[in-house]
Amino acid sequence: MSNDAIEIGISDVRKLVEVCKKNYQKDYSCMALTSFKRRLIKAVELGKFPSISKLIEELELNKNYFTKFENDIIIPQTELFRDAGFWRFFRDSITPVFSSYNKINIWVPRCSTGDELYTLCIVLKEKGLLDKCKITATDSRVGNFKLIQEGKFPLTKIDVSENNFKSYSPDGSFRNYCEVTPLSFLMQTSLINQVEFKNYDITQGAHVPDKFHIILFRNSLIYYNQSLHDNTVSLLTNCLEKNGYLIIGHRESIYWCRDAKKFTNDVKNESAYKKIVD
Amino acid sequence: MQYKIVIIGGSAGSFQVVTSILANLPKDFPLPIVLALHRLKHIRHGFVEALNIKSNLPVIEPFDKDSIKPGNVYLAPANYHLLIELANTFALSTEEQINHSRPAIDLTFITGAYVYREKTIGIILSGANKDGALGLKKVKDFGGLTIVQDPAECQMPTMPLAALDVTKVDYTLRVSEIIARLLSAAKL
Repeated sequence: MSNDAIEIGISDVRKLVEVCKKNYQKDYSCMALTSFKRRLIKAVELGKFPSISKLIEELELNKNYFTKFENDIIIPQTELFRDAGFWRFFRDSITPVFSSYNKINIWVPRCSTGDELYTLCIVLKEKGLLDKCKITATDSRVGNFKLIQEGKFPLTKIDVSENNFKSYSPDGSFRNYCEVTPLSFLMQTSLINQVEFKNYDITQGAHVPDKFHIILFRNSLIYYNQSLHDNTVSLLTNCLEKNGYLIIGHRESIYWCRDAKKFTNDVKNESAYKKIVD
Repeated sequence: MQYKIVIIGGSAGSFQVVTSILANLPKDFPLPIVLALHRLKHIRHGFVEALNIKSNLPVIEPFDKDSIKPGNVYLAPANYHLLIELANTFALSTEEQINHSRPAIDLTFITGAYVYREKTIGIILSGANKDGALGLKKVKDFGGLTIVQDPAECQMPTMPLAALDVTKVDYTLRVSEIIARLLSAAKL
């Protein structure tokens, strides 16, 4: 995939943003530019358009195309138990903090393809905490929820997920939690019994009107530009209980954000930030 | 300055070459160096530490949105693509693997060449697949300086040979010559 044939310039991105705002009330102006361009190239390829201009034309003329467009630019999560080292840390250092709570309120603001959600549920189940958890999984695309609720993942992910799980729990087996079929694997859907799915688009400033003990939001901020990244961190900060944890990706950071001082980062190598100021 | 960034891509057989380069560049080397090296996705610790042992310049794994500054060597973090943004900052991505790799060398080179244009120095080292070939071509297309490690010296010559296949690389050099070329390019 060289993408050599498809060139997307800044003016193309601007035009697309304008069209989406005007026709679909969806604001893509705050996406990190380079990764957003790559997602657009993917949409051009998947829609079999000869150019980005033709894709933009289709968005203007054909209202039915927008759902496919949103689908085509989705950012899938990479694998279950991504960063097994982090999940060991979460299991051993973060879950004990909440084990005496009657109810643990958790928000997964971009559940995408469900990898992080199922991973979270397995970890909580193995710690005997899953039944005490109220997990809210949100996404801008309601269409995602059906696949997650079916527990269906492409078979191409089984090896990496199994290897990650082995690193997380050397004596355990990932296959205890799933069933393999010819083209996919199916996670046990009982794992997500405590999960409520809701339609919120955090990039548009929407959030669940609640306070949480844990917000799991790994590898989404990387797709936002600096302004949206900063604003989103503030939004999430306001949704966290004091002493609650904001969990982001291993190479994401909040140190330059305006609400950075409300957090402490106990273990420097792990991207779990504890809110210390309300 | 004629050049503003050095981007180095490598895979199997490139570790010793990279440590040798970093041991032979001075502390005040004026160009930021970006290392797009294939690496085991689940190993988060150890690689940067190993590179730092002999390096005269600090080797760090950047955070998303960190600025690219001279005096530093930046190593693409495990299981992310390392992109370069117009604001001279890094951007990370978790999109699917390219050339079976994440980080993909092509992506760092292509996005870097787009930003730094003719001020880019691109170097492809030893490796067992073709990742980086199209990336180095992009550097050439924008007028930057393109170098491959001499395939005869490489543990795995596939990567530099693939690069030579798709573009007229400026120089095919042994490691000692790469170091000399970098030192003289930095003075321009």
